[in-house]
Amino acid sequence: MGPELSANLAARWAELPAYLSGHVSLVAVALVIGIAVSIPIGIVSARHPRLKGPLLSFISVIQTVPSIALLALMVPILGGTIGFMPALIALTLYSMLPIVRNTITGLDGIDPALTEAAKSVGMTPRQQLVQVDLPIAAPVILAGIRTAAVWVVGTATLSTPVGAESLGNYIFAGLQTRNWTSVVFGCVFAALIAIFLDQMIRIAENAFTDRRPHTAYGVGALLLGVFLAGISVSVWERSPRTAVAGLGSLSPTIAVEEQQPLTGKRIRVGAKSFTEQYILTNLIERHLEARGADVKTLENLGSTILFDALASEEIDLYVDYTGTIWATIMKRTDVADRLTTYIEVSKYLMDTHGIAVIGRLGFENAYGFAMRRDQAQRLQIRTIPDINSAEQPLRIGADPEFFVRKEWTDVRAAYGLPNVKTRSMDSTLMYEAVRTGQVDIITAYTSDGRIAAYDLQILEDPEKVLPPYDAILLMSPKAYAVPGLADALLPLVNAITPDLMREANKIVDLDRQGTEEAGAFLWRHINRAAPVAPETTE
Amino acid sequence: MKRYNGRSVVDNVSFTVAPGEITVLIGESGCGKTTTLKMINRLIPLDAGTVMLSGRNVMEGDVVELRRSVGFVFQNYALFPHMTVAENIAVTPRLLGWEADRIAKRTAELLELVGLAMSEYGERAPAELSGGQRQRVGVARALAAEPSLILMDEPFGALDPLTRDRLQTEFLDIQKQLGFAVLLVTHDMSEALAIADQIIVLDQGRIVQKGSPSHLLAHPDSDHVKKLMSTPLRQASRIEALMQS
Repeated sequence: MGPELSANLAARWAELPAYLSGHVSLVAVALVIGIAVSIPIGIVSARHPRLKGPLLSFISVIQTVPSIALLALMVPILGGTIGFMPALIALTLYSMLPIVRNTITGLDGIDPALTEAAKSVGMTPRQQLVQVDLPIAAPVILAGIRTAAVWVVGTATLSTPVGAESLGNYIFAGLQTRNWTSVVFGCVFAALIAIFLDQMIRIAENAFTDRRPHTAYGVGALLLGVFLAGISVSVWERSPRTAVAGLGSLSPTIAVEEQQPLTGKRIRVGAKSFTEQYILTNLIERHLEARGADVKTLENLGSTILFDALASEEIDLYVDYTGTIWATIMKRTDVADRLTTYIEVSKYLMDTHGIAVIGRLGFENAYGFAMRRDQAQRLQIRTIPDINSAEQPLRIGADPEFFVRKEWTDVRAAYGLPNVKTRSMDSTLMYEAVRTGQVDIITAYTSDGRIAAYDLQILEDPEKVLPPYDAILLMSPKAYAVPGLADALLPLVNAITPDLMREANKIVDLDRQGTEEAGAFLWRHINRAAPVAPETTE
Repeated sequence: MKRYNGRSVVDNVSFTVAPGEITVLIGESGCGKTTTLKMINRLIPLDAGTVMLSGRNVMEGDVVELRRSVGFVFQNYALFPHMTVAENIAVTPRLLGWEADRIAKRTAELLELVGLAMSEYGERAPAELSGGQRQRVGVARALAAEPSLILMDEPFGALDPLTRDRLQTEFLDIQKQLGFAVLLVTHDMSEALAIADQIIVLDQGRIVQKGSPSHLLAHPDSDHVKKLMSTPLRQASRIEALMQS
C-alpha cells in the first residue's frame, strides 16, 4: 500500500463518524416519521375504500418523481432552507408508499370471520385494531417497512446536494475528484446499513409470524439504540467545539495577524460539486480557522441550491462565477466585458439580495477553445477566427451541452467556423481526447489543471464573444455584517492567478492527491506571496 | 326484521329461548337463520323489531357489554391465529378486566371441561390443532365469561361425522352440567333432532313451524317441514331394516 493510498484511507476513515452518523440519523428520523404517518393513513384507507384509490395514487405519484429532483424541490418549498430538513421531508415522503400499501394489504387480507370473532368476544373497535388486526397484519406491514428502509438508505445518499451530511458526501466528492476510494467507502457503508436494517426487520417479521414477540421487541430496542447512537454522534459532530480541531492544527507555523476578531465565530462555507470548489473551500477554511473562526463546510451543493442557501442565510459565503450569476440569476443574454460584468453582477446582488461580493479571486473558470500548443503553432492558429484559415476541417470536442448553448451560437455568429466538425463527449474525457489527437480543439474550462499539464493553448477571442466567468467571493447579508469577517477575507482577493488555480486543480485531477493537499498548496502560496496588491483594472 | 336492498330476509321471526334449553334454528341455505342469530349480538343491526335478553332490549344497551355477556361459536372456529389456545380462551375475561389468577384458573378449568389438558394444549397455536380440537377451544372461548346464552353458527358443520358425533354428545353433557341456554343454527335435521329442546324451522325469512323434536316428527304442519323430516326418517328406517335383516 503506497503512502498516498494510506493517506487517502486515513482521510476517509476520519470522515466516517460525521457521514455515517449523519446518514443514520437521516434514515432513522425519516423512517420513524414515515412509519408514524403511513400506518395510520393505511388504517384509515383500509377502513374507507373510497379514500384508498386517490390516496394510493397520490403517494405513487410522489414515488415517480425522481428522488434527486424531489430532494432538490424541497429546498425552494422550504424557502431556501438547506441541510437536514429538506432531506428529511423528501425521504419521509419517499418511505410512505410501501408502508401505506402494505398496511392496507395486510388489513384487507384479514379473514372476515376473525373480524366478526373479535367483535363477538366483545372488543371495542380500538381493542380490535390493537389486539387482532394489527398483530395479524404485522408481518405484511413489516415487509413494507423493510422495503421502505432499504429505499431510504439508498436515497439518503442523494441528499448531499441539498446540504445534508450523509454517506453521499463520499460518493459525490469521490466521483467529482475521481477518488474511487471515497466512492467505494460511501457505497460499502450504505450497503452495510441497508443489509443490517433488512436483516433486523426480517428477524422481527419472522418473530411475529412465529409468535415470538419478545424477539421482535428485542430487535426494535436494538434498532432504537443504533438510531439514538447515530443521532447523538451526529449532534455531537455538528456542535461547535471551542478547542481548535482539524485543520487549525495543520498549519501551526503560519503567523497570524495581530488580533483575532473571529475567535469562536461559526462560519458556514458552501461549495458546488467540482474539484476547484472543494479546493477553494479548503483554502477558505484554512484561512478563517487561522483567524480563530469555527468553519463548517457544506460541500457538493447544487449550484442554484447554493445561491438560494446564501440568499436565505443558510450559509455565510461561497465562491461563484460572474458568468453564472449573469446568466442564471440575472437572466442576461447579452455579453459584456470582464470588468463590466463583474461590476454589474456585484451591484445587482447587493441591490436585489443584499449579497456582498467581496472581490474577484483573480482567475476565470470560463469556456475557452483550447488546442495543443505544438499543433497550434504548426497550423499558425492563435485566435478563434484563425480556425477558418486551416486547410483541413478541424474537429471540436465539447460536452454535449455546449453545442446547444448560446455561447456556441454566438461564436458561430461572430466567427463563422463553417468547416469544423463537432464531437460531443463527456467533459472529463475531452482533455484526453485533444492530448491524443482524437480531436483538434476542445472547449476547455480555463482553470483546469490539464491545460498546463497537457501544454494546451487557449485561443484568443478578439470579439469577446465568450462570456467572462470570474471567480468571486459572495457573502450573505448577515455574514457581511459580522465585524471583521469581510476584512479577514480580503487577503484572498486577487490572490489566485490562473496558473496557480490550474496548478491546484492539477494536484487533484492529475496527481491524484486530495483536495486537502491542493488547499494547503494554495494556502502556502498565498501566505508566501507579497502583501496583497491593489485591485487591478483592465 | 332485516332488509337487504329493500328485500326482507328476516321478517316477523318471533321466538323465545328458555333458560337452560337448546333451541335450534333450522332451514335451507339463505333462509335467514344465520342473519337471525347475528342480530341477537348485533353483528348485524336490526331494521325493525326487538331482541330481549334477560328482560332488557339489546338495542338499548352498550353493544360491547352485550357481546361480552353472550358467547359465540363460529362454524370455521375463527380462533385468533396470533394467540395461544389459552390466550384465545382468556380473551373475554381479559377484556372484562378479571384478575390474572381468576383468568388462569378459568382457562384451565374450561380446557379440562372440553377435554384438552392445559399442560399439553394451553401454549399451542390454533394452527397446531385438529379441526375437532379447534372447535373445543371455540366452545371454551364462548363459555369463558360465564354467559347465560351461547350463540352457535353451524358449530359442528365442518367436522367429520365421528368427531361431530363425539363433540355433540360432549357438548350436551357440558350444557346439562352448566345449564346455559343455547341458540344453535344448523341445516342438518339429524343434528337438530339429536340435541334440541326446541326446533324452529325457517323458510325465506319466516317461521314455518316451531316445537319440540317429537312434536315436529309427529305433527309436521306443512309439506316443507314434512320434507325436512323425511331425510333423517328415511335414514333411520333404512338402518332399522339393515339391523333386522
